[in-house]
Amino acid sequence: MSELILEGIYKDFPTHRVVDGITLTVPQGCFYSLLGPSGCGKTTTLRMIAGFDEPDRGLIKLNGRTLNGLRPYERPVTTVFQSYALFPHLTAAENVAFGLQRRKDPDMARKVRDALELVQLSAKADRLPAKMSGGERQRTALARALVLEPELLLLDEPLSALDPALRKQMRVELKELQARVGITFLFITHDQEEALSLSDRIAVMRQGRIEQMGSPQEIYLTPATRFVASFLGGVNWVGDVGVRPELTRISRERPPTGMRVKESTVSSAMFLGGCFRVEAQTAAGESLVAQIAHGLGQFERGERVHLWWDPSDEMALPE
Amino acid sequence: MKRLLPLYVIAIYAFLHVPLLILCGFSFNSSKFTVWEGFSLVWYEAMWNDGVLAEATWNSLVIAVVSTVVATAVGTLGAYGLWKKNSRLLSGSMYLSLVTPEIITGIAMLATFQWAFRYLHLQLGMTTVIFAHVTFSMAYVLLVVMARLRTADPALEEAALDLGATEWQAFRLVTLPMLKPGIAAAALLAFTVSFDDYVITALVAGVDSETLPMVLYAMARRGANPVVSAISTVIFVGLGLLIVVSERLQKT
Amino acid sequence: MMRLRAFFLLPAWAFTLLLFLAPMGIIVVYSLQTKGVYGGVGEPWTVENYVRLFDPLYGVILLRSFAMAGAATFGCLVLAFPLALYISRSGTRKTLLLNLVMLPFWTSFLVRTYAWMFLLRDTGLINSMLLGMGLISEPLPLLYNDGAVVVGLIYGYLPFAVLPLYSNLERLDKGLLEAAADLGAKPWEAMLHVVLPLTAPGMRAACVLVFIPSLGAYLTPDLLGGGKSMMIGNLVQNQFTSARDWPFGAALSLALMAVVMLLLWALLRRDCEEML
Repeated sequence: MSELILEGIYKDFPTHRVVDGITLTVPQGCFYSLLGPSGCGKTTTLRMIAGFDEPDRGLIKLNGRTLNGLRPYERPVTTVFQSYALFPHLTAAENVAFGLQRRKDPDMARKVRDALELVQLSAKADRLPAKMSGGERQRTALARALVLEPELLLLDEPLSALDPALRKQMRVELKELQARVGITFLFITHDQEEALSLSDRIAVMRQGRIEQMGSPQEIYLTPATRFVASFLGGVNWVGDVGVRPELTRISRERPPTGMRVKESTVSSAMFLGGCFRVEAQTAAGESLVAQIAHGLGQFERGERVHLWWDPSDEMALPE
Repeated sequence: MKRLLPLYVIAIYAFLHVPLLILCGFSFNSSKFTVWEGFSLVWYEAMWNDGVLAEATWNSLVIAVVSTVVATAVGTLGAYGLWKKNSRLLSGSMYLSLVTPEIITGIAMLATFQWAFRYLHLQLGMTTVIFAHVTFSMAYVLLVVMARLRTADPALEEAALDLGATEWQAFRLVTLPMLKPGIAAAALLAFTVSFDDYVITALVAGVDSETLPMVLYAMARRGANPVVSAISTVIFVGLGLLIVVSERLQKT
Repeated sequence: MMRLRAFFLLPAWAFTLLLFLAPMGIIVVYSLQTKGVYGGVGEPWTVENYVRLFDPLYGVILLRSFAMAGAATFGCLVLAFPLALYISRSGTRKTLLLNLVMLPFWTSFLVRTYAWMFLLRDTGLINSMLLGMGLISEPLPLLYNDGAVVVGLIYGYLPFAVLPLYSNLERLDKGLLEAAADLGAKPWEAMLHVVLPLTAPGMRAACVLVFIPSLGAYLTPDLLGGGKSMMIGNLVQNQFTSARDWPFGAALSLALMAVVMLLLWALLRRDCEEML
């Protein structure tokens, strides 16, 4: 059972406290994400699990074994770095073989072949990193880390260097990969769409603390704090109450009874390809957004409309 | 292993600096033996009173100053010209002259002077030394100024032209001011290189244009002489200060 | 515009042409001529000087030069690498440490060579200390041999090895070392399999910067080797002074130049752009 347990982790930098009491459990085989804005401490937490930094306080336990004090090469954890950190003087195959060579693994050749096949890079085995595309480098870094069959794989924003189309494709591949190998993935990102689409569980971090932990749906639909709600997606705030734009409707006719209604004037209507994003101002000056599918009518700037939603879709979160 | 490294580093710095420091230290020794017998300036007095030494030092200074001025000008203009449009032949030759062993450039110049003087009725002397010094110094100036120019943004001169300046004005008003610290550093470098040169100078100097390194060399060859230690200390400290100043200028 | 460029390059061209390229050309011409009766040069044209280069009499000197330059290069590489490594990891003190390495070099080569004479001669500091402590009864012959010359060469050119190694090490992606540790490599393994291979260009540059001046050294073997440790540079000087055999000296010089240029090409062709 290789579950990762972080117990009361604290880390101070000279200027401020970077990690402020993190406690969490990552079950075996889980795709777990640490999500948060830059500076929230997620990368530092990852580095402490990998062994590049030590926590000032707190324990890191993997599979019942305490990792504190162990050097990175002594830990059964491998990392996919944000910059990939591929060895420029080694081919893809040699990069993948590196860790196996350190262990003097007798089955090295076969494992390297299998790992490259797993990430679909068999054809590029003899390429040098300089001659590979961004996506190929990313997959080489993955293969290199996975071939060592770690108890835990750490991924530090591995998709951020890729262009949007490639990123979307890699998300799917990454999810399938994890399901196939069954290794626990700890994934760091600041991109909420990425975290939501990939993870089994998410911990939202802010200023060194965890604001909320849960499944993607849980934290999106029932955020614990205003910060979590706003970080995961758009929110229409009306006082202490918020509602998601995609749950906000807009019509010229009177809405059904029992709905919360706001009389507004359309200020802009943008076509985003998949939907319309209509922004409207209430009489009280609030700016609300409704995200609506096609076919629900075209709205013009200056039109008087009803903006409405089901009160059960509201999130009551004080500031 | 990690703890050994700082110790090693100290040892290496000792290797680099201690021989010189010892030499300087013993120049203040009252005895001429390598056993410390007391502090004294007697060797510095002897050095000060040596007429041959004084004349050689004067020669060295004159040669260094003149060749530095010329080499800096030639080298700077050359670097600028090459920066604008490279001539592989010229820059290659100048870098080649830096790599060529001094003994070879020296004898080549000597041969050239000997051949030329058959027709020009001239002799080896201060002038030949100065010409020789300019030739090797300007390569160093080129090196330093080129390094500076490589960090310069060509768009600045283009902006000047765009605003109505001629090419010469662009050079004088935009690029040259920016190069000033680099040029000063290059000049100091040229000075030290010229002042310290032995090999080429010994070959192309005439009978009456002995330089300080030549005198020093002769004294060193003859045997243990504490006056050499005193001269060495003065040269070391003097040139050392110049280099420190040059480094400071290169930073700005 | 053309005229302006010509003005800038003209003085440099003049000096280079008249005082470097033309002299080299004259040397080429001399190398193909014969020694005159009174020590000059003249007809007939011959390649005999180049043939003489292969005479075993000179072979010793040539071999010794290569061996000593090689030893100096090896010594410099080994000594400089840990130092360059340390400096590249020193953060804010990098410039200071580098300056401390370079400073002695830029003062006076003559003085620095003399400092070793002061230490190594029979009446020098090392011997008088050992004699004074009673560890030896007679002075050790530390000066005027090959060893002293190699030490002098290493001392003289060590800074030339430190700079390119430092430059290379400094530019290494620190993330690579972390990746190596992450994949199970202990620090010495990371050094061997990651740092060393990636420092190859710096090592090549260091080799060039030490071997070439060492091969053509004159002062160091002259002062520290006495007459007993002749290198190519001393042999050349000899031909132009006491031996009065200018054609042979010229051929020797050109052979040395050829070796220098060959080495430059071989070691630097991959890193060419960086050097210039």
